[in-house]
Amino acid sequence: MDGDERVMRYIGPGLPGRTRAQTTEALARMVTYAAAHPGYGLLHASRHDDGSFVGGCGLYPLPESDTADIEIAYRLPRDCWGRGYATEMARAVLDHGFATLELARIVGVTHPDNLPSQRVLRKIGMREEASAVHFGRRMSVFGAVHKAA
Amino acid sequence: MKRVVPAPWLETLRLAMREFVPDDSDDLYRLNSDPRVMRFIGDGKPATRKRHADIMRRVLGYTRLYPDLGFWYTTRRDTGAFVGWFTLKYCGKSPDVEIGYMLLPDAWGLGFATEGATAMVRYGFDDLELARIIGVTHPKNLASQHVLQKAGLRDRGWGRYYDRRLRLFAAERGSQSR
Repeated sequence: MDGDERVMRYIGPGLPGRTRAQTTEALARMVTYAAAHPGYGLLHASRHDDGSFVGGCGLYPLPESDTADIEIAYRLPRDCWGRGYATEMARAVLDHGFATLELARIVGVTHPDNLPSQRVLRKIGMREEASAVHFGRRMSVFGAVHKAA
Repeated sequence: MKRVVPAPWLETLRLAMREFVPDDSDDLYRLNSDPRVMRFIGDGKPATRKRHADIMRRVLGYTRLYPDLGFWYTTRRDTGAFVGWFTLKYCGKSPDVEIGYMLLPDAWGLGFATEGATAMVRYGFDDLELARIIGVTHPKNLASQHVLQKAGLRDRGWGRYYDRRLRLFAAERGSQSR
């Protein structure tokens, strides 16, 4: 998945596809991160029926945010797009953020051209709030607040 | 010239904590001299330069006096910006160890106090094996009372500390729900 530039170009600052070595390194960072920060970091996602890998989704602090927000992140291998998987995993992670981590607010930051991802954020109940610079480029910022909060 | 500072010894999701160094005096003064920050601390008045110098000396020397306890200079991990400090220290002249924190107003309302306080509670119980950790606040400091409760301390009514009647919150080791 991380070797595919069609997946990676919208991630963070816009990344080229990763080599196997870079992917191994990134994966090690992910594992260490999740161990240090329970409830955060990218979660592995697979299909219930055949166990095949369909990508990952999770929560991270959004870097250099004035409001120190927590963002939802996800990415899926190209052949898993268009099946509602992203919406399904993002909805579960959003619930986890509100119910278990008791976050008051979660944001989603997407590249303005990444319309499929924006549809996912809308479907999980986020609203477009602003356009702001994140990861060194202008991004569309979506947000949702904890209903009980 | 770039400041040489100790590496952080404790990192939370968004914050990094390290020991204070003499060069941190100006940052600490931004807290001590801000009426919004000092409103519920001690006599409620911002610190004079003289008082600030006393506080700075105490902050710098605390860990040498009481190993493992101390005041921790705290920054945002993403921007490196100074946000304030957290502490685990004796509460006035009492034998109770208290959790404390002071944050710049522009770092309020972002969950930083809860995040740092929770880490202090965990450090106190898991690493120092303290039996009890308390938190005391001015009766009207509802925001801080809320933070202490979110960090796992329970409302224990009132206590007399620093020669004042303060609201008291406490947690005992093993009684933590999370």
